[in-house]
Amino acid sequence: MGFIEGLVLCFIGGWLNSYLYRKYLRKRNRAWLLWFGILWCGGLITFDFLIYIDVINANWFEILPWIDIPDTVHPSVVGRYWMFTPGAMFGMPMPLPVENYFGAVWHIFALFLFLCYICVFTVGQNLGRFTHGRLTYEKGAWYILRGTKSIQKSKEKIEKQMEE
Amino acid sequence: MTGEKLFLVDGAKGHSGTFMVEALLKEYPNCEIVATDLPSDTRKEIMTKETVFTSKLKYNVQVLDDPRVEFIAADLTKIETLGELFKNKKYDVIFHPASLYDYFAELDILRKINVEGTRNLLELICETQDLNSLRFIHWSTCGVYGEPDYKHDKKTKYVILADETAPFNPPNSYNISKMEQELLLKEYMEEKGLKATTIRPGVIYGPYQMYGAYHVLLILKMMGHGVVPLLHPKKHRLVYPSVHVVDLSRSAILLANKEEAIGEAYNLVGDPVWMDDWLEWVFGQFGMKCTYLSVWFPLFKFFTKLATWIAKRKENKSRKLGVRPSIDRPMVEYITHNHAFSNQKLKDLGFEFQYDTWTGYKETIDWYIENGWLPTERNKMEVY
Repeated sequence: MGFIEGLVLCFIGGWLNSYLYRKYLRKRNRAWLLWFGILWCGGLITFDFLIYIDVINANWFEILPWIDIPDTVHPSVVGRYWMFTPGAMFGMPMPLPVENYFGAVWHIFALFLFLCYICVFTVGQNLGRFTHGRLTYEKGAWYILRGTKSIQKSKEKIEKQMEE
Repeated sequence: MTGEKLFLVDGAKGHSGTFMVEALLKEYPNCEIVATDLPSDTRKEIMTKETVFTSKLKYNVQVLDDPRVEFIAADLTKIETLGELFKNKKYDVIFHPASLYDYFAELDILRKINVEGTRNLLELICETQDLNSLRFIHWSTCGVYGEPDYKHDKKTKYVILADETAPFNPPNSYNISKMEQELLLKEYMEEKGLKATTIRPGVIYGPYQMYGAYHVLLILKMMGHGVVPLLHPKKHRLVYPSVHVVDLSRSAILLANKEEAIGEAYNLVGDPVWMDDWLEWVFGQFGMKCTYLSVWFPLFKFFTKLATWIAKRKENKSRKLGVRPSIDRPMVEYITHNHAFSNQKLKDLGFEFQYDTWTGYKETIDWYIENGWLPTERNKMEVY
């Protein structure tokens, strides 16, 4: 996938991390936040980096019928094309208006974006904390935004527990 | 009853009522108190506001077990049930905190209980009591003013606090019923010569409080992350008007003893604190992080209108489903409007507040946490 998709996935991963941690894993494993973060971000960065340096050849993805990398892209920069072209993995490429991807400036740009993966993951995680809380009793902003039916369900559940 | 003084406290099983009884017992150790409230089953049916988050919370009703207190169940809306309260009894002071304080209740129910109930009470008082010696202390609310047309200080640009001369402009059903209650009382004062005094408290807080200030604290705690809006230009900075329930009871006793308070109304709010300062302080007390948002006032107004619209939709849906929303629509309006009221008139009468906002809320929050009224990691309190 490209940088944009990677960043979006990192954001979702961060949000999901705080949600899973809050919902299921806090009591059992307090190191969950860290491990999930390392695995999610580390996995994405490694995978995308290998594409960027052409160890994983982006042309291999053409096995999927909707993916088509233009022949005009120089074989030595296919990875860079893939990473800097949002939507390529969905068959809706939006390439940058540049002639080629040669030059060190692309490496600097790529390094910056790879670092952004971690930042965006953290932003997603913090937003997750805001939307559904962090501690076991917290429910985050969702508590004031939830619908009437959700309140009713919660009430029925707690009253049933009390009766038992 | 052979006590030094004889008092009647209605709404005695409610928050203000229980504290009123407690304050009277402390101030007049030899007094006798007749306390009244609805019969338990009727009360449970009407006071759904007490179970918005959990059904476990209970007011400080053990104060009614004191031997100096005689409890007589009565319903203000049924005049025939009130007779027992006045049979062979000549009261020195009648404290009238009884009201349906519920923002979710419909106007006709509020009118029936707050206005017609008060009318029944006043009718019986005029028939049975000596109006030359009786004092009547009535609980109203600062909400009857709505959001007054404030003036601003030319130097600081901040809002100038509104006093008791501000016109009535009640923004919701509850406040409409309280305004009508005040107008009714005025009639009895003018026509029958009833010696009444009106207290207009702001947000009442303190231990055992479970509707209003408690809502705000619980919701902030449940959210887990605070947002503090900083409004610009600063002339729109919001004031948070609140009063500790102990100060409310103390002021009622003081007013009952002041001749110059007859026929007057008094705002009862602590010294003004800014809403953003208060929010920041509460988040600090809860050990929560908060985000500061500088907001241009028209944008803030837009979002508050949106929030009110959402709250109104939820209110309608809740009525259809027969459940209560966790936040009533007028509560949303309250935290988005400026309620800046002066307590100078009461202070001029010699009243000194026992609690400032910070010490009062500190004590209240500590009490809530110690008694398991606010969720913590330890107490595992569950709320709807």
